[in-house]
Amino acid sequence: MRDWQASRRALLGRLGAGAALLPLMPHRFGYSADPIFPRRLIIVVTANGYPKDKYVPGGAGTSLASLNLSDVFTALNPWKGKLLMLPPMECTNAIGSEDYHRAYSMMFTGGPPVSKPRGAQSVWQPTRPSIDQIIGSEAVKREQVVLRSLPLQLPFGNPAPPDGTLEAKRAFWGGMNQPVTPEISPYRVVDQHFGGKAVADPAMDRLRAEKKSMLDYVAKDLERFAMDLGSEDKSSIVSHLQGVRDIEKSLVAPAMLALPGVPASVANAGQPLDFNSLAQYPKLLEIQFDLAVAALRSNLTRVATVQLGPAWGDDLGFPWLPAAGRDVWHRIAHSDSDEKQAWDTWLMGRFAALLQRLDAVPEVGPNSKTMLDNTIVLWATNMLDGNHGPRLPWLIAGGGGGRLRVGQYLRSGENQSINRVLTGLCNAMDVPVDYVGDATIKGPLPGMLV
Amino acid sequence: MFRLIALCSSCARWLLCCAALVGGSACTGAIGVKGDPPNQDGELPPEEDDRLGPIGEPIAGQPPSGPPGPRPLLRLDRTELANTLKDLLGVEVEVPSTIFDTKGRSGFTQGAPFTSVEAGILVDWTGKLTTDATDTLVTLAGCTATPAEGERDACAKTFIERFGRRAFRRPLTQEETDDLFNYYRERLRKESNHDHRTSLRSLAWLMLQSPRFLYHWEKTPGPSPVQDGRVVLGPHEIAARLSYLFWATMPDADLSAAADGGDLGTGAAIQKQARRLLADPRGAGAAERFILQWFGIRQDLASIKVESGAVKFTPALGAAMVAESRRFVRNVVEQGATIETLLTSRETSIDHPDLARIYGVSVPSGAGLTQVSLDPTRRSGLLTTPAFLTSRSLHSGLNPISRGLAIVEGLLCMEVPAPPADVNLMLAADPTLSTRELLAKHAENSCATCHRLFDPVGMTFEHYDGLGAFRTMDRNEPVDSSAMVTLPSGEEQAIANAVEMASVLAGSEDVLSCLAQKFTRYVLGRPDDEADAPSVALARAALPSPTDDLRELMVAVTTSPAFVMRAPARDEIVQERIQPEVKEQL
Repeated sequence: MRDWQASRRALLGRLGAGAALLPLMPHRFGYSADPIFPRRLIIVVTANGYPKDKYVPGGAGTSLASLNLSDVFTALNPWKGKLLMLPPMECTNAIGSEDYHRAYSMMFTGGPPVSKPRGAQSVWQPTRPSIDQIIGSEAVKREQVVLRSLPLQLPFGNPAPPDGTLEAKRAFWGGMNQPVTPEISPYRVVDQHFGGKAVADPAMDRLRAEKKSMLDYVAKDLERFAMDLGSEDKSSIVSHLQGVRDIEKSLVAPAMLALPGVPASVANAGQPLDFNSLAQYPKLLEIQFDLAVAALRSNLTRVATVQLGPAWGDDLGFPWLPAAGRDVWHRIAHSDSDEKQAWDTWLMGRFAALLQRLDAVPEVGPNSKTMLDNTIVLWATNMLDGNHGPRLPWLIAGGGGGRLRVGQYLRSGENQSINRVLTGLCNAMDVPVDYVGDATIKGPLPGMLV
Repeated sequence: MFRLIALCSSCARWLLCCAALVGGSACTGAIGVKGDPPNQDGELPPEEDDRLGPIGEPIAGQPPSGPPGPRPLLRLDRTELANTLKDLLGVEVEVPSTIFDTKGRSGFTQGAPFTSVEAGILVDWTGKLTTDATDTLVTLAGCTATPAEGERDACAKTFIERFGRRAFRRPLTQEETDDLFNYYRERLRKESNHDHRTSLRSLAWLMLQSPRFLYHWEKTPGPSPVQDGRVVLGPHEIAARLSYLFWATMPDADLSAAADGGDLGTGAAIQKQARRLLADPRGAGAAERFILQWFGIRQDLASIKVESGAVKFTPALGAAMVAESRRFVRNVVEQGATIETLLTSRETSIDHPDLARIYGVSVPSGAGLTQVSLDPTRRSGLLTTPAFLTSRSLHSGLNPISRGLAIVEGLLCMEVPAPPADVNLMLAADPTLSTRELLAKHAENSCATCHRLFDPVGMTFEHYDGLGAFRTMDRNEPVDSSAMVTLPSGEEQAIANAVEMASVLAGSEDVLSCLAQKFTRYVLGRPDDEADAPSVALARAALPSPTDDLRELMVAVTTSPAFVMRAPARDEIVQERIQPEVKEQL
């Protein structure tokens, strides 16, 4: 027990999170409240906010049942009972920015960013880990899941800076200089994480064994290599090393886990599906959501992230959606145009479809009937609308295993720090930190958790 | 001490470098001096300047200076990765799109950090490459694919020594060789289907995952030897730096032999190699790679979305623009590589009808690549090429902002602070106003402080639309490209148009100083600071006037502190290496 106490402290310290809630941290791994099904987190990342005055629901009170969602959000009407709609909240460490797009890289970290010049613009590199890594690291340690997270991405077009910079394309970070690279190819995700032992293939087994042996050598080589470096360069190698370790784990994963089959949308997509093509965006979005759900169902990970666009969206157009016009996401977001409303309405339809997918998986337990009840879906954006920040209108759905107070528009949270939502999400996922990223902002958002 | 002797004793001439360091109690950090400047015909000076002394030797009459800054760990970028793998494996290489480059702290391209995705892609990709190259790899071992059992181990060790030497760009240590040989034996032992041939391929596959292949860090493992607060790079590190700077690939046999033989211990020897590399056809790309990045010319114009009035943008047109800008720069380099020519030449070649339309020239249909002389009243050098003008176009149409910034920050090295908090993103929302009228709004608020530096410079390019086609009208107003431009000295100068702007820049001392600073950053892989001032000064001295060959600057930098030394990184384990008694031994 003493060792565990020490390791819990070390964990919290490494995560940059507070330890005031340490005594509350479970002494036994597992899910005491709902022993059958684990809690999972899906974070969907969008950009540029919503058309002005479209986000806040109409009517008085906080119960979503009696509030009216605007046209853009009508697809969520059937899900009001499982929705926790947050008011626009301050991305505290983004206050004072000259360009709120930049919150993209740091909004899930809660910590102060470091500004980096990128031509005429500047971008932010976070200094703290994002919550997917905080929660995912804890899950890997205590539950023996394979991956901290499954980071996925949709095609972004061919962005030049500022969208072309690393910080505009990476919403999740292990810490400073440690971006989490999302996977754009569903084929590679299937190959790496879902192929496995489904079909006995001695040649594939041999290849996996050789990769495993080779990567074990490479990991040791990276460790030796890092010893000769200064601290700043070491962080690059740490990220590289972690990547190699993740691959190693995935190579043995199929033997340990009962994986479900490859999602039907992937199997039916046909070859070749150009996963870099914007024309394939709707199909790829469906596939990436399917993969996220499948990875969570198969205990590959507890956290999946899906990035739907970069921080600005300068090269992301909508060739499949005539109502959104022929311009790009960034441009149409600067006005409350019909095109922007069409695009956001379409996105909300995808959000509703994701909830439907999760709700179609039965998971009957003390606090749940379906997988949606055990899952938290955070639908996040980096701006209030196309011209303003740093207030972020985030939507949360699902039950989180009975931890979330859903069915409400949490009006009282308006203008409070988004850090408190991050802390609340960690707590809901059984990571009992008392702050995320910034020790001056403690505790979850009041009214958010049961 | 033993390590020092072991390091240096491999090559007698390298000892000279060590000896020079021992004697360098008042090292200036400036390594060698430049020889005679190029003559009036722009010819490069003699191959070797005997006045360039041993590395680290103090220069008489120069004030002492501190060590240069640290050298960041950089991964091979996409071009370097492709070239190196092609040279190593002898197969055609196309780097997967998901292994990408990023704009580094230096402002220039470098390999983006590796994570699980890139590492996974590298595994699969190099697995295929090494499979395709297995026969070549076997040949490198100097044996047949099925050597007799008694010869197998020797063949494997030969392969490890030869392939490792090339992949890691330095001789392997005994420990590394032993580890790799054990891996080879393990493959043979564990895998029933693994024979000598496939095990050699496994060795190559493994070495291509190594950080010693993937990163620019050719140092022999172990603490870095330090004296007077600086690490002098070893011969293999310098060889690799030279090769990647000029060829974007690993050292060839000649350069590797020079490093192995300790023949890179003097500035003269380094410059001799630099000139050899530059004279090679592959060296022609060195100036081109730098110049295109320096001017901010995008290489992905085929895949961007550009709005334009006169000519419809297509991916093929974007690709043609990029190709034309490369040919333009290559031609300037062949003509003597002067800044003046770069900024004023009107000679180019065109192979796309829409590019001809943008330039306002007629090219016979089906003529292929056609040399043209452009209208001197409308075009002047690289800044008026469609590739530059399109690279610096904005969706908003407020192109002067982007184009002005490219020149003010890129070519004049003027510092422009980040935009203020109350920036008005809706500036472009009024379609009734001309660009000049819209930009005038910058003068009405806090934006004025900075925009007055670059908006006027960009306004001189207002005769070019988003794709670089010459225009006379902006909405319903005649284009007025005149502007009062503020120069780095603070002096204001009235400029009529882009041709005049280019002419002013072509004769500007500020551009030469900025070039020296930018190229030093390009070499360093990070922003320069005070400690790098001697290197920047050395580069600047190599280019006295805009009519001098800028390749002289590139050669000069190879003997600068920025190139051959570094400060220890923070928390790096180092070893104070040079002791007085060593000098006696040497």
